[in-house]
This record gives sequence, C-alpha cells and structure tokens, in this order.
Amino acid sequence: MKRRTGIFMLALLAIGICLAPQAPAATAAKTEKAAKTTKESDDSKFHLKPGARQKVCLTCHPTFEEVMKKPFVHTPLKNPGCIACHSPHASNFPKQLSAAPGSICVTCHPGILPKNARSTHKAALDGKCVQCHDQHASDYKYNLRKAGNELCFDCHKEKGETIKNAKFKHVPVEKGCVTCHSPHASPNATALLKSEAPELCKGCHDTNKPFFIKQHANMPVANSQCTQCHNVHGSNKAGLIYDNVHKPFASKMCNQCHEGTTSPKPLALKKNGFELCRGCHSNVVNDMFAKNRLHWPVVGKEACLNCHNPHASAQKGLLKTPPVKLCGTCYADTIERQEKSTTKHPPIKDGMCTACHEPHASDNVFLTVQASTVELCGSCHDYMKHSTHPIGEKIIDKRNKNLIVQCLSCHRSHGTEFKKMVPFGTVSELCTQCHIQYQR
Amino acid sequence: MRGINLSRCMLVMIVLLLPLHAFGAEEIRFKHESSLYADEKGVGLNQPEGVACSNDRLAVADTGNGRLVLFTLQGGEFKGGTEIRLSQVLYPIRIVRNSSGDLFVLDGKQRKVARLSADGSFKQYVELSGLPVEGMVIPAGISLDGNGLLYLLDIQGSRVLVFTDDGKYQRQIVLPKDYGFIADLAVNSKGTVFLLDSVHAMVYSTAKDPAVFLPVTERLKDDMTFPSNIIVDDKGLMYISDQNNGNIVVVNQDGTIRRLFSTGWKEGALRYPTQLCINSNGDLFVADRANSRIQKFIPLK
Repeated sequence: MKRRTGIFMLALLAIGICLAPQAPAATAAKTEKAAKTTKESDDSKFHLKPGARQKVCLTCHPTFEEVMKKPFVHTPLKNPGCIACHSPHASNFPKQLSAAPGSICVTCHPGILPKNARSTHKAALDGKCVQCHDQHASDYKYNLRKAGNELCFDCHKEKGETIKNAKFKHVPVEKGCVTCHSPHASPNATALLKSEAPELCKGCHDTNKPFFIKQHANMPVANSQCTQCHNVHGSNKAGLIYDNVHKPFASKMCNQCHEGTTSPKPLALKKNGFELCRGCHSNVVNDMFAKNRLHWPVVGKEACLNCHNPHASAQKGLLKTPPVKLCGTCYADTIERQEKSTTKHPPIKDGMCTACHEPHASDNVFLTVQASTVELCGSCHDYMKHSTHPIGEKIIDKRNKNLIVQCLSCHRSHGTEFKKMVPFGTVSELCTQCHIQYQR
Repeated sequence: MRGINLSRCMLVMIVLLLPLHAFGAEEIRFKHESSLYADEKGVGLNQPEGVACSNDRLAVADTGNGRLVLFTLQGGEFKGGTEIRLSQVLYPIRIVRNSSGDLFVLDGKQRKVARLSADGSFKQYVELSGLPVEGMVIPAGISLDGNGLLYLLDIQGSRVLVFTDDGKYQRQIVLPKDYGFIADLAVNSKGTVFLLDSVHAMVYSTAKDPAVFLPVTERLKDDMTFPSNIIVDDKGLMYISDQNNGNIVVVNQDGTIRRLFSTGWKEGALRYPTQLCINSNGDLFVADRANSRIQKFIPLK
C-alpha cells in the first residue's frame, strides 16, 4: 500500500513539473526561436531573398546604411526592419507607409497622448512626431532630431531668443525645457507643464525660507501665481522679474494697492476696479470718463486688470499679452478675419491695434483715434490727400444720401477675402455699386 | 386601387407631418417698407444707435448728432421729425418707451438715464436710490418690463439692477459666471430677463429662476459676430443685432436660427445695426447705425 502511494506522489510531482510555468528567459528564448522559425518559414513561403525585410532595401536606398550606423536606431528598424512601417509593394499612403503618417506611430506608441490631457503639444496631437523625432535613427536619445533645448527653439524661436538674451537665467531652463514641461502632453496642467504654478515652482523654491519671505516683502505669496511677476524663462531684471515693472511693485510698496502685512487679509485690495488705479492714474481715468464712449472692459469685470498686469509684464504698458492676442480675446472674429485676409493691413499684422483704436475711451464709434476715417487712414496713406477717387465731406455716397464717400466706402479695414481689402470680388462689381449706369 | 393606396399614403404622411410643422420654428419673414434719413428740416441722421417705437410713434436716438428725433406713424408712413436737443442728454445711445409714452434715454457720455415726456421735454434723471452697496453704476443697457420696472445692465457691478421708474432699488441679479462681455439686456412681458453676450455670441435668461442667469443658447459664433443688441417679442422670439455681420438674427426658444436680411448700403440692407424695436403690429424698426438711417420692416403674413 505504502509503495503504491509513493508511486502516485512521484507521478503527481512529474505532472506538476511539466505544467509549472517555465522561467522567463527560457520562455523568451522559446518565443524568439518560434518567431524566427515562423519568419523563416514565411520567408521561404513567399520566396523572399535573404535579408528581404531590411538589407535588400538598402541596395536601392544605400544612404540608409550610414543612417543606421547612428547610435540611436528606431527599434523596429533594427528588427523586423523597414517593413515594420513601410509596405514593400504598394500603399495608399505616402512613402509607402503601412498607415497614415499622422497615425502610424501610435500603433506602437498608443499611450503618448493620455485621455483628458489638460494640454497637448500640437505637433503630437497632429501626429507630426517626425518634427521632433527622426523615425529612422539619430545621434540623440529618443531619436530626437536635435539635442536639448535647441530642438524646441526650432519652433519656439521667440522663446529661444528670450532665453538666450536674458541677463538673468533660470537654472531649470538651462538644464532643459523638459525640466518643467512634458514634451507630449500634460494630464495635470496647462502649457504642457508637469504641474501648475505655484506647485511646480515650490518643487525647488521653499516658500518658508526667510530669504524667500523677505524678497516678497513679507506678503503671503506662497499660493500666488508666480508667473504673474516672474519671467520663468529668464529676464534682464534680478529675481527674474518681467522687464516692465509697475512702480509700486518695484519699490516693494505693496500697501499702495493691497491692505498690507498689518491686515488680516494682506493681499486684499484697498479698492475695487478702476477706483483703485484712479488713485495714481487719475488723469487717465478722468480723461476716459470725459469721452462719449468707454471701452467696456475698462470698467467691467476686473476693470484695468482685464488688460494690464498690476505687477510686471513682458509687454510695454504692463499689458497681459501682446496686443493682438489681448484684443483677440474679445475680438477674435476681427483678428481671424485679418488673418484670413488676402491683403494684410500692416498695423493689425504688426499687432498695433492702437494705431487706429483708443484702448480706453473715445468720442468716436469703434473707439477710433480720429473722427474722420479719411484723416485716420491718411495718417499712414498720405497719397489719399491728393490723387485718388474723390473722397471727403463734400462727396456724397450715391447709395445713401447720409453717407460721404470715404475709405471704408470701398475697403474694410480688417480685411476681406479679396485683394486690397475690398468687399467685392471684382473691380467692376465694386465700382458699379455707385456707378450703376455701367452695370450690365 | 393603386390610386386609393397612394391617396391613403399621402393622407398618412400629411397627418404625420402636421405636428412637425405646428411645433417647429415659426417662419419669420419681413419685408423692407421704408427708411428714415432725416428730421423734418432735412437734417440727416448721423450714426443713430437707438430706436423706441409704438404703433403710432417712433423716437430715434440720433447719437452722432447728440439729439433725439421724434416721428409719428400714420398709415404706416413716418410724419414729423421733431428735433429734441437737450442739455441734459448729450450722447443718447439707447431709448425705451413705457406704456404711458414716457421715454427713458441712456446717455452714453454721462452714463445716466434721463426720463422725458412723450413730446420730448426733459422730466428728470432717474436718480438711483437704495442700492445694497453704494458705488458707481455704469449702465450699458436699459429695458422696461410690463409693470414699468426699469432694468439696468450695470457693467461696473457685473449685475442687472431693477428699479421703479423713479429709481427706487428693487433687486439685483448677478451676471452669469464666465461671461465674455454682456452688451445688452431685454425683458419680456413676464419679467424674464435676457442677456446678450457679444464675445461668446450667446444669450442667457432668468426663465427658470428669476435670480439666476442660465444659458438659453449655446455659443453661436458661427451664426453671429459680435452681436450688440437684443429684444424679445411676446412669442418668445429673440431678435438680435448681428453687428459685425450687418444683419438681424432671430433665435427661437428651441434654438432655431434665422437670418433676416443682408448686409450692405442699399435700402433693406444693414451695416453695424444696433437697437431694435418691434411694435404690437409686428413692425420691426432697426437703428442701421453705419448707414445713418432707421429702417422699417413689416412682417409678411
């Protein structure tokens, strides 16, 4: 009986050993071997030449031999070879790719853009991976086309210039843009940041340190938006403060506007809206209120702060953003029209909305700087004053007895889909609006 | 036999389609009838921004000339054109009429509301009193409800203020969160307040809760460009001046949208229209600002 039980136990052990999972290395080796066998059998099945998946391609594309000597070769190019991405015979896509250029990368890299990302890199979103990565091989890690920040500055030229020319540098920026930014997408923050300020900044800057507190005039700024005052990419002012600084801020006279450190609410403002700014800028505010028409943002919502940064700014006049972008937050349609216009109007193209419009208030409709359109346009287009189609106060528009013929009788100042900012497709269509006797 | 089947099919189709027609967007169509260019002395209008109407009267805020012009309507035709130039009203931008014919004029320069009698004589400024928090009120729009209450869009305080017609504070409604810029307000006969957001090209109202603004339309940026003025008729239709596209857009409560006219210089076409008014006959008056005229449109029955 004992002998029978012993044989039974041995048999169980043997079955157990057979069914037990094998060591990973052994499994991998087995899988590789199996794949190789399959590949070889496929090669023979399709009568493929040896090296048909890669080396044969090089006979016609010899330049890739050099490319493949680079230190970082795209893994699928090594194995299985060119056919990982290219269809050897025919394809519906350019370069005989086996999928559309914008989507082929995600077949192997599906998690590059997380769902519900708070910000995404446009190049990645558009599937233009090759803008940053060389799809074959590169001298740089991750198959990047250039090393470090130089790659980013190819597109973000202006930012690159700011960083290069800044007198005071920010160490993390010198280390690389990816210190603070995620290159593909950020699930947590805007502008591809790894997290939002001030949390991101606090990773390096201890807000409890006496030096930090002293530098911020003892104001409780630990949870404030650092980038309101600091140009994190570099600045010509110490402390990375933006180049244009509001005087009270420069002299650390916080209590000119805020309740100050003696108050239980030190950051609270002493007055609301434009009333606060009026304390120093009474001339500007009084002039504004003497006009027929106010630019509503100067009194609505956050009033002056709708357009101006109260502490410091990279823009002149402490504007929050460059003028076209700033004006475009409300007048997006107008800016878009200009962008689509066949003929560009230089003041708008150059972001000089204030060349024609008063930003605060005016006596004129559309807040124009001059009442007369002819005079306004004439301040740049001098020729209008001597040889041109008759225009001005004495020339009545034939379409409407209450209107005079002026520049906007034939042009739209923010552009049209037609040349010379004319609202009609042909010259004859334009002219026969008034000269109806020539209509056919 | 085949003919009978066809008739039956047609009948069924008609029966099925009838409710669709009944509950769908009402077909709103207007025809241009006349345009107003000048006062009784022939002085031309200059960029008029305001218009108030009844079945027999029309008041124009002739903004560019800093005056009002009063007309009567007889048999559908404009008569008169009396100039009202007041030292108390320098730059009229909006004008509304109450049931007794008094005019409430918003002066854009002084940021005050002046009350005038039906013949245009100045009665008084509407002195605002009893506000919960004292401070400057900067009105950008005015409207009256069926009970004669005065509604002011206070952009400085981000709120709509409700007063009696002599300025006694009644209540306030805070503007909705995340608005772009509220350019105008309208009140219907039930006292529901409507707000027009120019930046987002959308309308809010207090239809569900009189104390809170909620969106009644989505962002209509494909249909309107920087709309500037709104009125609401008794059927609940919203008439909106699509300022930068030079048109009037009618939005039904169900979100159906219809463009009424075209942009241009010719009569019937509009450029940068501003205030609108619709009388009980259904006639629509438009302050056609950039064309310096008032246009009258009559409904097509």
